[in-house]
Amino acid sequence: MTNPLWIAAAGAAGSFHCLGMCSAFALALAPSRGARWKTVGRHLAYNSGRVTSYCFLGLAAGTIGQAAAAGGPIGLLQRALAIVSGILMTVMALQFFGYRVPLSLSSAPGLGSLLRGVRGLLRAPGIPPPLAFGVFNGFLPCPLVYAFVAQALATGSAARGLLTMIAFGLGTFPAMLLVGLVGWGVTPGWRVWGLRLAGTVILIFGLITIARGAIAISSADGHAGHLMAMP
Amino acid sequence: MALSEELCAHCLVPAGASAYHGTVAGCDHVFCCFGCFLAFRVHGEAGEEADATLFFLRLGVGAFLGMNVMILSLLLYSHDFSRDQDHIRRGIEILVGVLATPVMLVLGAPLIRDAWRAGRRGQITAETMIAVSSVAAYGYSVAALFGLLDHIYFDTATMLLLLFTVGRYLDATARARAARNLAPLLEAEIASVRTLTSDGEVTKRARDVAVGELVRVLAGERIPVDGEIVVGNSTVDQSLVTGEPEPIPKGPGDVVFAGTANGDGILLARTSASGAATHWAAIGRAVREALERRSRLQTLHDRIATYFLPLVVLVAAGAAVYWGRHGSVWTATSAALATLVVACPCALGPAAYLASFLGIGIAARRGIVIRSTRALQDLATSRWMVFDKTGCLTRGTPTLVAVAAEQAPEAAILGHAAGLALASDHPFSRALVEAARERGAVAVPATEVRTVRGQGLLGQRDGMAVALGSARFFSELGWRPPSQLGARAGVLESSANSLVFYGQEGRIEGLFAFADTLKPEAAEVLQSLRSRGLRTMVLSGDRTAAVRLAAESLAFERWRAEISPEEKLAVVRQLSASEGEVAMVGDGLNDAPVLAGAGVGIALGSGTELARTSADIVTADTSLLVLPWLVDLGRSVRRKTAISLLWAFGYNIGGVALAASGYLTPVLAAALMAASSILVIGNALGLEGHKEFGALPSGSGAKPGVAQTGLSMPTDGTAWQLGSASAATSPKSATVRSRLRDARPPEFRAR
Repeated sequence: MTNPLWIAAAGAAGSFHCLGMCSAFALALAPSRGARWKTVGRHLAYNSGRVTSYCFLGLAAGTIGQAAAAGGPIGLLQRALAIVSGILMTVMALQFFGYRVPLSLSSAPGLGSLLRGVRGLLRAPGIPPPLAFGVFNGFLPCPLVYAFVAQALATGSAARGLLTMIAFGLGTFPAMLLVGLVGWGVTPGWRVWGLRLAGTVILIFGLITIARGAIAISSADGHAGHLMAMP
Repeated sequence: MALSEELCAHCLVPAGASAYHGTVAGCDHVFCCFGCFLAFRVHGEAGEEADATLFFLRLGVGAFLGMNVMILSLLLYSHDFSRDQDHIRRGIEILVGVLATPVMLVLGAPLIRDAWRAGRRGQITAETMIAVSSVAAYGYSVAALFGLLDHIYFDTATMLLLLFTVGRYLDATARARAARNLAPLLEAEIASVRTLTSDGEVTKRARDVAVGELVRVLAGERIPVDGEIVVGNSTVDQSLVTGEPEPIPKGPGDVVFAGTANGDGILLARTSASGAATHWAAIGRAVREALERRSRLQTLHDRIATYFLPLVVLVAAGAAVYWGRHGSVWTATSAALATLVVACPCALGPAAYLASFLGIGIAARRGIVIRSTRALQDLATSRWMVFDKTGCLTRGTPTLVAVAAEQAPEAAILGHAAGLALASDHPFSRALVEAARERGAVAVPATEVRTVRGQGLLGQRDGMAVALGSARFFSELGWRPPSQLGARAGVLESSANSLVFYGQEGRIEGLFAFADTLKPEAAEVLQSLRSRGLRTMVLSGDRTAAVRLAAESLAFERWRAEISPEEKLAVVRQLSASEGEVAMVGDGLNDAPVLAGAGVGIALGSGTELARTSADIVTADTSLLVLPWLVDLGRSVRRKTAISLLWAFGYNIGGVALAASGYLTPVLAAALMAASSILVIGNALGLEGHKEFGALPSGSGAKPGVAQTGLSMPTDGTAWQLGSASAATSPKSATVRSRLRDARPPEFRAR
């Protein structure tokens, strides 16, 4: 699997995307009237909830990958999985360059009430509400997250899938915490460049993942084993 | 099933014997399930946002803890701890236990309470299965923490609770969405009304508004009472009551109906009827009753569920015993728990209900009342569609084209006949009264009027016995026409006019010839029905010549003329006994016995007489265009229900087999359970997204224009016309409207 440090770096680069979409949530987490440390606690709780959801998604994707790769001949399904995941990542990367996949969940049952209920969590006092909010935030449709969930799927292992998303989540941690605590923002102009950066990083990851599967399949069996261990 | 049964406060499904009683914002409510209780609190009414937030807070915190339990458990499973790392392992185990405990309290407690309540009534519910499973997994793990057993399985306990809570919530939300179509129909009596009094504006419930009170209706609001506009102009969408999709402009003096939607003007109306007395409330009662009647598939589901769950408990116990002997304590527990979890009939409920429920709602939005879920599904399996002719295939507004009298002047005979006809709602009677008024004939109301169904009327005038009806009616009475009148009747009848005779004191005194035209959409609709594999037949009390002409021009497979309602019923019964389910289409009042006796009775355009018809399906306007659409709707609902039930049962049975043989872990079983629910819900909700059911019926295959021009289109090549052309200019839906506007003399309504 890809080195977790690379993934964390990619997560950090991708947080330019987070700043666009999720910084509004972080800013909306009303600061506690009391002590300053309480505000810090609320933001830590929010980000922990968010990252926990990512971890769970990684675990679930990894488990699915593990189950999918377990059946067939050794290596073959895993490589197919890498190609599928890589394609998914590439599609996600294209979103950052403006090529949107029309995807509408707006009619999913429960979505309206979910959004209404979750909105209340932002305003509620104390530590648990931001934690719960973070958990739901983590499941929001987000191309960046989906791209790395696809990467977790490609690992073909529950543990490595989990590790991938832990690394990704921690990568997004600093920027989001900074936004929440000091209102650190980026001008829209910079954000456009940030989005391109995030897209490029995911695109590279996606292409590497595809290549890993494709090269291994095209080359003769057995010999391809070492390719799987690439970065 | 008792009609008094309460509907779930959230999704409007009958709450049933295992109703869940819950208190929300200080009010007691009845719910069909735990999920609806949750969802109701989330959706709630205004001012209950705190409740919604609380639910998501619990779910969110529960999910945070549960996911961490899962992640840490993975660490325990996948990592081989060496002997000197045992304290780390121990630490993680305790941490997992500490994280899992609040989940049990936050998400498990309501479930356990519900399971306990059901258990005291001797019932096993889905909640029982999940509560038992999660408590068992938790208890086992706690015992393991104290060294009594082998492994900890806190992840199983928490994941079960999380997935079940989310699944239940989604299910309840989907049902509420289906109920959204019905909600406007069910609030007739409790809608809040702005009444104007000398003290200013007072808000009260619709049922408490008295006749004569002034009611203010704001733009976009639903009009809560029947009444007459005093001040204001607006457009009113009456589709709920009359099925007309186009909003109708209304101003002072116009009648408005409860349940119709006000456009962008503000209206002040004087109440003429409110609460239970309105047509709106009648529709609401009919829909409520429909929801309480169960379809055959639902009954099947109930019956199977009754035996299924106890059986599953036995299977789970058997699996536990087997694996206890051939495996570890955990293998035994795991197999038993997975069996219980995978057997949880969460998907069965929505599978049986949701599609029918949506179907009834989709129809209701178009002013079509479907009286039972059974009717919708029986319509899907109908082999024959049998039609009444007058008012059903034809416009049903015959016009008087000729009068012949023996002794008295024609105007006097017309007046006498109209005096008797005043007491009847039959199209001929209405045409007679109309003609008498147009020609200035004085209609003296007859007394002691009796209706001989499908034949005629008998009454008294000035101490004389008077009668109005068909030739057959008079021949049964033994009254004979004078020879001259008989000859005239022969001539008129041979040109396919419909004849009605009037007689007094044992003698036929006069005759009336009526002409009627086919509805312009009839040919197209029949073709469209035949293309759906339905066979068609006409049964009419009308004369042979007229029925034959109609039947042949519309290419009916079979037809019978000059038969009484009783004979119609006999024909329909025989047909359904020998050739399968029969759907009967009629006008609701005159065809009441046969509509009630057929497999499915469809009353066209009887929406306003809902309380008086016994038909299973009642449409708001008289257009035939709705029939192919209804058949499609019924078939879609049936298909979706069957697929969902098949899937849900298949999943349950297959899952139980896998779980009992030890192939499923409880967590995997819970994931399957949630996926199954989502699949079933998605399948049913697809009905609403269907393009044909999302739009107003325009007759399948029919050009959209045809549906609209039903009102004004001159008789085209496919329609046949008899006698006078004037019938073509008096469309039936206009008649419905005029009837709604109380255009008829009060004698008509006093029957």
